[in-house]
Amino acid sequence: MAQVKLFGNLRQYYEQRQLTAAGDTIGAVLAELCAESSAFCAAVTEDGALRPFIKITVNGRDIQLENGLDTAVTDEDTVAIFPPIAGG
Amino acid sequence: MHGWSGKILDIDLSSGSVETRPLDMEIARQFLGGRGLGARLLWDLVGPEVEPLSPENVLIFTTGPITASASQTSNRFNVSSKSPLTGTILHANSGGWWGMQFKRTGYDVLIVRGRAEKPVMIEIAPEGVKIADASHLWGKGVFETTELLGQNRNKRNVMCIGPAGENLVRIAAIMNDGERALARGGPGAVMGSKNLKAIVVEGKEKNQPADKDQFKFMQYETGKLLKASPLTSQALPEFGTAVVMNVVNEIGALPTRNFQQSQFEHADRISGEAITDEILVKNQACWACPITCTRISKTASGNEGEGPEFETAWAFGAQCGIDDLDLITEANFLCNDMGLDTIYMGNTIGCAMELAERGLLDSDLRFGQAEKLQDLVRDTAYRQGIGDELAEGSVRLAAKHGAPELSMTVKGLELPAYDPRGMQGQGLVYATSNRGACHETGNMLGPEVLALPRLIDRFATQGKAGIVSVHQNSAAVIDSLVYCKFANMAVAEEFFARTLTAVTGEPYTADDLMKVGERVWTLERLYNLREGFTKEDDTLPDRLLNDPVVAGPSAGFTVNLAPMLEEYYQFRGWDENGVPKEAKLKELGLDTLRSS
Ligand code: SF4
Repeated sequence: MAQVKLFGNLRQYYEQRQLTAAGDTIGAVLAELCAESSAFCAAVTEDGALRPFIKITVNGRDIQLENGLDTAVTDEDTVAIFPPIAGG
Repeated sequence: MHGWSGKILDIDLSSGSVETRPLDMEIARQFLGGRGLGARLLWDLVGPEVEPLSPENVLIFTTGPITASASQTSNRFNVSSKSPLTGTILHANSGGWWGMQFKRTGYDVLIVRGRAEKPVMIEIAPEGVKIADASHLWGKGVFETTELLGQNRNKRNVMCIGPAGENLVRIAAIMNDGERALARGGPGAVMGSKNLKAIVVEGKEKNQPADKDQFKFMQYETGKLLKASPLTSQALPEFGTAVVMNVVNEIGALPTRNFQQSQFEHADRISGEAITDEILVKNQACWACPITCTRISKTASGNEGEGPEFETAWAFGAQCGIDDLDLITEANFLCNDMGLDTIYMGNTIGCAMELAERGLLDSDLRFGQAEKLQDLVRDTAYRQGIGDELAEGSVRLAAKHGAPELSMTVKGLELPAYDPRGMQGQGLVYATSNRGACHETGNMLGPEVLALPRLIDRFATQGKAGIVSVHQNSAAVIDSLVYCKFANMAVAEEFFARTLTAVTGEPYTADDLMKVGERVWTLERLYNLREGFTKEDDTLPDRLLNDPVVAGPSAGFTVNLAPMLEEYYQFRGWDENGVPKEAKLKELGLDTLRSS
């Protein structure tokens, strides 16, 4: 199972900050998380696509530059999901 | 006034003269205000022969045409000078209230020259301008000085230096409204060298838009955009600027232990999320700002104040291998009271820690020693013990102990919180920034990490030069208007141009603004060239060019600077030595300057 880390206000939807998910693509991982929390699902997705400014990385690589929701995920991977963030 | 009052207040502390001079409106139109106008005035006033801490150096405080107009984030102002830390052009800007209040005194610019014989302060009020004795304030911290001088948010605003500036610490900041800082490059030391403790302003004049209806419409439209964007309406208010800590860490670009690693195992403990969960009391906004990104925090000892921002939490945190948020915050408060640049301070402490761990500095200082932070900050401000060495900057510190390569600086200015081995474009930003390594002058966090406006490959180098140049020009014009760059995350230059038109009554387009940005950037480059800087200074610390990141998502990468730099010079219309070509200078209206 891949490790899933949540950041910012996405942490409010689950008891832990770090979860595990069995899906073999980002889309499948999200589906699993959505099954547990519809509020999380609404915060992150809209009509099956990611909301603007939601950032997801697999081992630090942004899925936008990989295969989007079809990006492959293995048990050794760490998935990080960020809400819209700004600063610096 | 509609944008500009057309007046410069010119004070010579050596002679005590106070003069009002007209602002050349042709120059004002070309450079707008803030950083651009400051650079243009500095060009005429401070040449290569001037030593930064001598009476011949000047402090030029500039507002912009939109300052105090009540357009969203129109609170900011700028200081320009020659840097005592780097010898480059110095520009620094700050928010809060002081800039707005100074504009209300009826001046666009304040120039301070010379050196007073004993400590003085300047008071600018409707009754007139006074230079008064400040001997009773010398030695006092920023918080006490600000209070004693009657800080009153919307009526009377205090800007001052702390002990660091008095003691000519090369990275001393000038603090306004208690806790806002004109920080980078050491303007506080220049102010200290002039024996100038404080500048207090009270004003009654208004920056009224030439076209009130259009201005109101633009305020409404800007407000809508700021509200609609989750970046400015949720992310910044909810978690502050340090919300980017985790993402920068996650991608392997968070410099750790003096850039020896690019991920910090305890990043979450010093993140925006941790600040909100553990120490946040409330948010605060600068004048006329609906974004409210500022944190008011409280430590375990009961101290309350502004901070920490992302850069500060990183500098005292990951850079020093420290995960104690409470002590990081205490160090932040102390820097504010002493009048010190937090980025510099943390970065230099990290350098000292590495020197000591390698046995090059005779000290028991080690990474992770949170309990030593406050003593190190205080010692730096008062130039005591090891603090006297820290006060000189990490370039001088590392060189003195035989390891110049351990100073994480560009052109003598300490690097901020992004490891460019994981963000190649940021490497080019650091290498070419006119005031030395700086993220505020064209931050690539947007395109390389946050997908603002869209995501580009952070490891790629080809094509980065153009994007970096556009970002640098944009930052330069925002600093000249002067807006807060966070507003630009939701509001495009087009909107700034329309607001500027409404305020001044003079037509500006987004293209005009970008041209101003390019003009400002190029003039700063000319200034540094005149000071003797060359292409050789457009570089990065050895570690970033030659030591690949050892682990994490950026493992194996160094910064591939040379091809980006070559492309950059071409894109900017500079020759292979980084000197702007005649045709470019003509296009920007700077050709007469170079020959002058
Ligand atoms: S966004 Fe933050 S720093 Fe910028 S003006 Fe608003 S409160 Fe000040």
